[in-house]
Amino acid sequence: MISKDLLKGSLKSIILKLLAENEKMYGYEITLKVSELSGGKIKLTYGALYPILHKLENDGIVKTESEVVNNRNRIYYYLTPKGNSFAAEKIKELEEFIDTMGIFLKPNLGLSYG
Amino acid sequence: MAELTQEQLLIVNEIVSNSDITYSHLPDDLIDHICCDIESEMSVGLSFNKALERVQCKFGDSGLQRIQEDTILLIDQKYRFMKTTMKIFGNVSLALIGLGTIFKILHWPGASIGLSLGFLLLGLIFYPATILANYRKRGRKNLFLHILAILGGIFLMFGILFKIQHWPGASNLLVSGWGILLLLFLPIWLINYAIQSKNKKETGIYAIGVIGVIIFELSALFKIQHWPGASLMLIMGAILIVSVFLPLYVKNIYKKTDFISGRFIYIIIGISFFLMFGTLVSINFEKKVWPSVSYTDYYAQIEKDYFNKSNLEYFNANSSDQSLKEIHQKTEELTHLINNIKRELIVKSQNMSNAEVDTYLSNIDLISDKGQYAIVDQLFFSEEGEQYAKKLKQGLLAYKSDLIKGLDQNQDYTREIDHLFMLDDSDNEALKTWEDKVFKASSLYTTLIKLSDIDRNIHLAENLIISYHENNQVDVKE
Repeated sequence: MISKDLLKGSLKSIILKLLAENEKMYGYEITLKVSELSGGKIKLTYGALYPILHKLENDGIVKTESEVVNNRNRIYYYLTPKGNSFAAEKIKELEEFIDTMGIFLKPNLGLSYG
Repeated sequence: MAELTQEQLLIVNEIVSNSDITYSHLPDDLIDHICCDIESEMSVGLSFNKALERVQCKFGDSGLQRIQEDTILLIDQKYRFMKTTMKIFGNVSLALIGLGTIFKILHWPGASIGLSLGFLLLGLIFYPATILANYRKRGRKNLFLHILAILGGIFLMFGILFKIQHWPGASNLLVSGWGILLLLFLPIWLINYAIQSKNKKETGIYAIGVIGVIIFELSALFKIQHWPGASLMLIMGAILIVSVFLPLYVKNIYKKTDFISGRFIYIIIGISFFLMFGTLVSINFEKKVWPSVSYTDYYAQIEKDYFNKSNLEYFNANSSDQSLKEIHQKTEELTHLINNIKRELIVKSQNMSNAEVDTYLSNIDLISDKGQYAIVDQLFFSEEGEQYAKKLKQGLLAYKSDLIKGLDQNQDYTREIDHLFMLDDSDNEALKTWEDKVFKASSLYTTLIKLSDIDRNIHLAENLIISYHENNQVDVKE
């Protein structure tokens, strides 16, 4: 399990990445996908997912459509055109972050090649 | 994967709606998510109930609400600000009102300032902020309903403040606040609820509750305005709330959940306080205000009857005395005139037959609209009317001078008689005449009381004359 503190800032980017790769997704599908891809290491809770999704919708990055499945409304989320570029930006940011983190994690930092 | 049945879906629906999740499409999100979760748990062999239990553990007791809170807080910066404002001002205003009340009870200085400031913060900041926060939480729907709630609440709160401080306009504020909440807010809320709700039975229960509350509270208004039917409405409203709405509501709650939540206890306590308060106000009003006045009338009539009885006994024993006989005849004439006026006042104002009037004459509390002025003005002063003011004054003046004539200028008795009939007009012409002072702008109710008073005084005066005669005869005998 990866700790909440580490994940906090990256969740949004992870969700955006998933939405960018899929045409449209509903909430449960996203949690399922995250769990599946991370091999169960990242568990997206209800409480973490929906505030982010609603915030993205409110900012015009994603849009929703409703579909009746098994007698209940299923809300699908998909990226808007504006959202696509935003998602790309965020994903790039996350990559940079990981690269930077990678530097710190290299062995013998600052001692070699001297 | 297992698919939930219609009933199981309904259970999930209830869980979400019971948590008061209303923001945007969050309810749909959560219902679908919970259902998917349950279905996946069930697909590994769990029963629905077990699966539901496990899923509920995931989001915890008030977890759904917290998700909604987090969502709104993240999106709406103003909502966060309002929540903080609410907390601060709510506490401060409550503390001020509490302290103000204590100061007021103990008659310490500064109570008014504390109370006013407390109500000001409560009414102008805390309360509107709460309603606005609710408005945002519900996804900015029903703006009109929220505005009504704010207006009605503010009028009501300031009405209470004005009433406590004895400032003018309190009644207007109270009545308009109450009116907005009862006759606009509640019905519109109910209609709104009925349109949105899928559960017809629950809508029916709430409709009964709302109608009960409206009838119950209107009865208070009727009571204060002395319109007929107040007591009936009070009882009907209370019965509707206590013996129809409450059992249905409790049954509904028990069906939904098999435990008693804090909210349920609050609702029960709230309803009991509400009913107690309303009933006490009505009873208090009835007991304190009108009867305190009507007792005067009741006792005036009792005293009159007492004097009348003892006077008659004396007359019967001394029927030979011609001068006393004349006086008694005049007394009878005047009493007759006064009773006729009273009768006519009641008959004309209540539209009833002459036969019914007697019960009303002996208990003027039975009269439903006691506050009429027009009928008094018409009968006493109108040029076309009976001009009872003039007739009564002439009759009383003649009676008074006849009585004083028979007293042989005895100073003590003359002064007593004079006190019983203060009929003088003011010397200053700008000031009012006696009849203006007594009967102008006097309501039906007070006019009846004043007439009973005059009637009593007439019999008391007659009694005085008798006692003068008794003493004089003794003097003569000696």
